[in-house]
Amino acid sequence: MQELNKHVKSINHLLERYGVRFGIYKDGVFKEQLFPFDPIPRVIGKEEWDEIEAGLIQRVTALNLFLSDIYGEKKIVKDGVIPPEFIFSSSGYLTACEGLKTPKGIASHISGIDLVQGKDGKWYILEDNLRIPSGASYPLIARDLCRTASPGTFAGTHVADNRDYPKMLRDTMDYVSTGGLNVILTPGRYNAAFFEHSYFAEKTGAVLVYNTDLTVEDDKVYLKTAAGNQRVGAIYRRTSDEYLDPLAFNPESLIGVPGLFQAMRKGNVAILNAPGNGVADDKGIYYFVPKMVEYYLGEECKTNNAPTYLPYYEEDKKYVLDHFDDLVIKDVAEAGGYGVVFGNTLTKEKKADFIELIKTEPRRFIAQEVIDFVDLDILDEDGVTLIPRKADLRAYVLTGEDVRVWKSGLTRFSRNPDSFIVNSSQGGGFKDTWVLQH
Amino acid sequence: MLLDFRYRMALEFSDPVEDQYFVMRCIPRDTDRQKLTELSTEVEPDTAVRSDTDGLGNSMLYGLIREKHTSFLLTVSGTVETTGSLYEEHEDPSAVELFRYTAPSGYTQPGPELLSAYTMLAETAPADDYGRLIHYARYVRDTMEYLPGTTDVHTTAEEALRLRKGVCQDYAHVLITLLRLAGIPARYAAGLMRGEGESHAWVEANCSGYWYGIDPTNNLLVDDSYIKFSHGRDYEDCMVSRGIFRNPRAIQTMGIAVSVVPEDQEAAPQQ
Amino acid sequence: MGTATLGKLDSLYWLGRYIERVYQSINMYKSTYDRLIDQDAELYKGECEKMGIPDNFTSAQDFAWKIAFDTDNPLSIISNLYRAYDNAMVMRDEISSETLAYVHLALAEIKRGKKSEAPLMELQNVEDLIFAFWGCLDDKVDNESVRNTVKIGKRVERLDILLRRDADREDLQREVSRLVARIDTTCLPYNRKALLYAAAMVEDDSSDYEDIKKMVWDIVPPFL
Repeated sequence: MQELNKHVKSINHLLERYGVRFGIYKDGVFKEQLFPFDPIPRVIGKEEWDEIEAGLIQRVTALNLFLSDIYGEKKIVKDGVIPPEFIFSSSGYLTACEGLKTPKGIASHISGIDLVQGKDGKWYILEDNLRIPSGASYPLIARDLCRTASPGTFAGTHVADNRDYPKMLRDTMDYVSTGGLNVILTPGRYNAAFFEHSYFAEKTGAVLVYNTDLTVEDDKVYLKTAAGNQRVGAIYRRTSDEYLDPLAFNPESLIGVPGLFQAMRKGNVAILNAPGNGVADDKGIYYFVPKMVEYYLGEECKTNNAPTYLPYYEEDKKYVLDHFDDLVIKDVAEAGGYGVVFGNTLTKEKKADFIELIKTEPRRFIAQEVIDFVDLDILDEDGVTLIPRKADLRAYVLTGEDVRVWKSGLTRFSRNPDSFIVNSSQGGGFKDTWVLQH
Repeated sequence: MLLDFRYRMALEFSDPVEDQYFVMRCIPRDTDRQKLTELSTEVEPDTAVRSDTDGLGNSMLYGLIREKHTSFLLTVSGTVETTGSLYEEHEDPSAVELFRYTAPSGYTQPGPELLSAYTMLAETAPADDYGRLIHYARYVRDTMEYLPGTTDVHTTAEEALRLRKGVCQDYAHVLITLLRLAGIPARYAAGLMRGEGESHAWVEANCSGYWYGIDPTNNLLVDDSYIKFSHGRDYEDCMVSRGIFRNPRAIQTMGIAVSVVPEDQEAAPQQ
Repeated sequence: MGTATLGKLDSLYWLGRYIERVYQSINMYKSTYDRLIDQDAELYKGECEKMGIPDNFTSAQDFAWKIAFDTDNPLSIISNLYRAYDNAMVMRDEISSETLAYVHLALAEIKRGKKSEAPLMELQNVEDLIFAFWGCLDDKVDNESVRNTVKIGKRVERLDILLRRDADREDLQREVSRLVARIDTTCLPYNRKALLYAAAMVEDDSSDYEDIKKMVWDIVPPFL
């Protein structure tokens, strides 16, 4: 690993060479910037990984069962495990998806589960991302480049090769495809993750398409090519639900494909991930995931949630108000590190206002104990000094014929030493994640 | 009562359009209060029309016209037998489904205007749900002024109440929001009404397990002269027509003509 | 090329055109720059006229810097390279990350040239990277139709530049015959009549270059 630090310059050169970037809007202007890469990997031992892996497989299996149930019979609600308010008032719950049957019964094909390791050594789930979790391309290409820049580092380390991700992705698409081409639907080159869209298209052999390249006829989806229409069987879409189809969702969407949703309802195309998944990765629903595992699988939940309180329950509300300064409060409607407030950082006035808001809209917030998570060292700009930073891990779980956890992941760290927020949209960087084979 | 109905939508485009997709929710759905006994559909330019039901059980007609055209005409007509019942039974015995209609939806997020109206009304509201339904409906009717053109399809309940103006869609949204604030499940209903020249919208509220229809725009209980196309959380679930076409230069003008007449009477002349 | 959409064909074609435009501009720049240093400060005015560049420059130095590195000037080398990049980065899945990398590197290189005291050094590197780009395209991209679509762009661009620079008819004939030989191996929508007319016109010594130029522009009309 020390070896790798010496090759930072080469690695950065390679990152530039391959255009490893993400887009960001600053003052309304689109800019591409390099996603700062820290060469020191996060290393996870085999036993530790096996435990994480088993937990994630269980969790994602339950979440997929939940999604089929919620847009079908809603047994989990009828049996009183989850209060119906949490379903119907979730912004991710889509009425249009009622009765939707996804190919092979899978709704969350690519799940990005965010974890942190506490100082107690335990891993905690921060949030589930079941809509369009991005970021897998970064550790994927970073590994490739690190091996190029510093082959010696990898000699004899027994690091699981993570370059099988495109194969996993392709297998997943093939498994759910209803017959026809695999395509990756991008909202366009000014999307923050365009690099990833085009990179996955290249590596999986799927066709990178824009909305206007697709057309729907007789409830079937076609790619319009210069040589005529070709049937599409699976769409890995990177457009959010709201904009996917102006006939089913936001009528003003200019980046949607008219009729796509109905083609899916008719079982004529697989959409990865299925629309409506937001109901399962809602911050309010998070609280109930361990209960889902027990309910659907009859097993004890192997993953740990951060201790979470729902002001919706009187008892929890009282706890939240009594321990406001010790908690982190999250607005369930927000994502990307927005809408997160640490109780102890508020001024007296703001705190009072916030408490009032919790009282009037209890369903809108969750409160969590602040997990004291372990810092990871990053290399300072001088290329020598190591400095500790907060970091999380996004693990990627792919559901096709089996549920498989990618033996790697995106480790993101905050640039700011005081910040717990690691999102790339808020200026963080990333590390590779090494999973040891033995 | 047997009602003959006709819904006719005519679109004119200022410039030829192609790839026009349409999705219509203008087929009466079968309920305790009405049965569809006859239906015919015509579309010009001629195209294959497909049908399906959406996630809430509303009927949809949809299709696509690829070729260039400058006008589009869709006519749905048929016969509905209305029973005269003032309510529908709730279809889901577990009551889970009722919660769909107590959560605020896009158009029915209460703001200061609705919250203060709700607080004000609480002082005089009767204790029972049905009584409150009537109470709120009367408030909406008395407070709002029916004034087409003051609101549009994007206007929320909160905005409409602030304006104190609107059309049936706004009346329905305001009433739904008040009912939901009171914990009474309420849903938006779209359809036709005898004597009304356009499609109409009203409210259904669930009181002790029964869905009662009430028309806040006219301050009437929904009876056998109403035909329901669809119901949902708000306007968004019940848009009678949705569509998209290709040609950014083309401007669309829409004309709607509807008629509802008892079967033994002669249909009003079509425009 | 089974799955090529018209959008892709358009990007591939314009990628070829812009890469070639950058390459040709660098070549012209090199010879002009050399003479501007100490021989003929007014020389740039003639260049502007030939290439249809509005002469808003205050001096030979101003011209030399801006025509290479001014991103605000849409006709500068850097602007054309950015346009090549715009078309290349949306074609990663067709031309491969390896080929695309040379466009990234060229862009990084020309940005360095902005601050350089000897910009011909960086521009030489850009030129080298363009050669590498073509080599990589040939080597890494199996799909002949993809490769040839980019090359058609290159040929059309070169023909256009040759015409602007009053090149010999022989050169024109060579370029046109390369176009004719290759264009049907792509799915590019093109105007066959215009191509055949252009071919006939370059053979005919009495034809006017202005007329040929117009015909060349019609070979691949905008199809999006």
